[in-house]
Amino acid sequence: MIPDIDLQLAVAIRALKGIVWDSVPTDNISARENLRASIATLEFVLQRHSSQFSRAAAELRNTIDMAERMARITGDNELEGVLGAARSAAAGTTNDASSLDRYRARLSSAICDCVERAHDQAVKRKITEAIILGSARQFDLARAWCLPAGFEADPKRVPSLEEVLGCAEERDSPPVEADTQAAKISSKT
Amino acid sequence: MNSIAKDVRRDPSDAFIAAVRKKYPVEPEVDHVLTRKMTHRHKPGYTAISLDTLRTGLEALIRSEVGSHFVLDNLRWLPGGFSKIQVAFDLETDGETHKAPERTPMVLRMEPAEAIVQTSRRREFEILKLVSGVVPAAPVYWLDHDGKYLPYPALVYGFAPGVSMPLGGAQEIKGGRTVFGPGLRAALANQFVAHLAAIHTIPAARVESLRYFQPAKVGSNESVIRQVNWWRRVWEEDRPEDVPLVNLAAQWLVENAPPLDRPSVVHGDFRVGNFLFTESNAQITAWLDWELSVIGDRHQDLTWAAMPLMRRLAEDDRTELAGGLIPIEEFYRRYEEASGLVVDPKRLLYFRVFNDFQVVVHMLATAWRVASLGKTDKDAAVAWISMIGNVATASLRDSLEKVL
Repeated sequence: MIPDIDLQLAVAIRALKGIVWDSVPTDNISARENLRASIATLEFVLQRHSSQFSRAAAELRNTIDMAERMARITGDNELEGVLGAARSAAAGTTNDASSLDRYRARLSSAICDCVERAHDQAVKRKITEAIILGSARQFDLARAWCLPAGFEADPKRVPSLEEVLGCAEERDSPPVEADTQAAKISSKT
Repeated sequence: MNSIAKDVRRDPSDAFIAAVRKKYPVEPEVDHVLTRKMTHRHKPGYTAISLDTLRTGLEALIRSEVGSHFVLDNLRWLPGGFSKIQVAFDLETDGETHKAPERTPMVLRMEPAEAIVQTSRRREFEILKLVSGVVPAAPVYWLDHDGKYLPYPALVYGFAPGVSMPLGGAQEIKGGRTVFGPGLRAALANQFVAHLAAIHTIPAARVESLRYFQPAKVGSNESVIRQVNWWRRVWEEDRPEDVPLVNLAAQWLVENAPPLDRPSVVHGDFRVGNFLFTESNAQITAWLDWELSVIGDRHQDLTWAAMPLMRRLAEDDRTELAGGLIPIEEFYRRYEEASGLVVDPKRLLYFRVFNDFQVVVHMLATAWRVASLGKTDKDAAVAWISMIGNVATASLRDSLEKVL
C-alpha cells in the first residue's frame, strides 16, 4: 500500500511540533526560526497540495483570458502562436500542473514582449486597460491561495479559494484528479 | 530577455549582465553591488557560519581599526530580520584604546550570500553617520565593505536597547488590528512624525557630502528614474517568470516620474518594525535598516509608511492607521506642520505605485530567487514572506487603476 501523502505530511508536522521543537535550545535562535518557518510551510503545503492541478489550470485560463484581450488589440503573430499552444494545453488531457505552469509562463512572457514592443499611445492605452482588467482574477487567485500565510490586512476582502478555482475545477480537472480529491475529502469526513 | 526556455538568471553570462547594466542605468554604488551579486551568483549558496568564525573575522576587522587591546565577549545571534545576519557582542577595551568606551555592546550586521534586498554596506555606514544626532540611531563603528575580514560584507554598530513591537502583542497583528494601545500609540506617533520630518530636512550641504550617494537635482526627474531603473534591473536579474503588470508599472513610472521639488534623505524603509523603543517610557531608541536610503523625494517615505500593507485598524475596526500608529490624513497634516514641507497628493499617488512596484520586485523576484538558490540562513522564512508579493501585486494593480 502506498502511504497517504496527507498523512505523511501530518505526522511530519506533528513530530516537528511535538518532539523536535522542545529539543531545540531556546538560545539557538537560527534553528528555532528555521524550524518555525519549516513547520508553517509544511502546514501550508498540507492545505494546498491537493489543489495544485486546479490552481495551475485556473492560472492558465486567467492568462489565456488576458492574452486574448491583448491579441485582439495588437494582432501580434508571436502572441497568437503561443496563445494557440496554451489553449491546446488547457483543453488537453494532461494532469501535470508543472506542464500547465510552463505554458502559462511562456504566455506571460509573450504578453510582456507585446507590452515592450508597443509604442503607439492609443495601443499602449488599450494594452494597459487589458492588463489591468485581465490581472484581477489572477491576483485574486494568488491572494486566496496565499491567504493562510496571514499577510492580508483584511482577509474578508479576499475571495475564497473555492470561488477562484471553481470554474477551473469544473472545466479543467481530469477525472482522475477529481476522483482523488473526492476520495480524500470523504476519507477526512 | 523574456525567454524562459532556460533560466538565464541562475548562472548569468557576462553578456546578460552587461546588457542589463546598459539597459537600466543606476547609481554607481548600486551598480557595483548589483553587478557583484550577478557575478557571484554561480557561487555556492549559504553554508552555516559558526560564531567562532565570526569572532575571528570581527577580531581581525577591529584589530585593523583600533589595535589589539580588546576582547570580544558574549557573542550571540540576534533574532528577526530576513535580509541580514546579525550577531550581538560586547567589546571590552583595556583603556589603552580610546576609540570606544571600556565595555560597549555592539552588533555585527552582515550580508548572507545573497539577500532579499542586495544593498551597499558603504551606503548604510555613511548614512548612519549622517543621521547621528538627527534622529535616534545606533552609533556606527567599523565597515568591512567587501568582506575582507568577514565571510561577507558587513558593518559594526552600537547595540540599541528596546523592542520593535510591544512584547506579547506580535500575534495580534495577523488579524489586521493594531498592536499598539492608544497611549503607546500617541507617544510613538509624535516621534514617528517628528523623526521623519527631521530626516527629510537635513540641510542640503550635509546631504551633498555623501560620497556613495548620487546627488539629486531640483527640477529634474533623473533621480526618480534612476530608482525605477534600480528595481526594474533587479526584476530583470532575479524574477522566476514574467508578470505583465510589472512591465506596465515600470513603463508608467518612467513616463510619469515627477521632477524633484526638493532633495531629501529618504530612509527607504520608514515604517513600524524598523524602530526600537523602550516600553517603560515609550521612547524611540533607534531607527534601523537604512540600507534602502537614497537622496530623493520625501513622498517615497510618506507613502511607504502609510502603504496598505503597513496599515492596521484602530479599535473601531474602521479607522486605518499608518503602521498601526496614526490615522493617515493626520499623519500627513502633522508631517507638514513638523517639516514645513508640502505633502503633494499627486506625488503621493506616484510613489504609491513606485512603492508597490518595489515590494513586488523584492518579494516575487528576489525573495524567490534567493530562496531557490539557497543563499541565506533563513531560506524557509524568505520563501514564506515571498507570499507578501501577491498582496503587493494586487495593491499595485489597484494603484495603477487609480492613476490611469
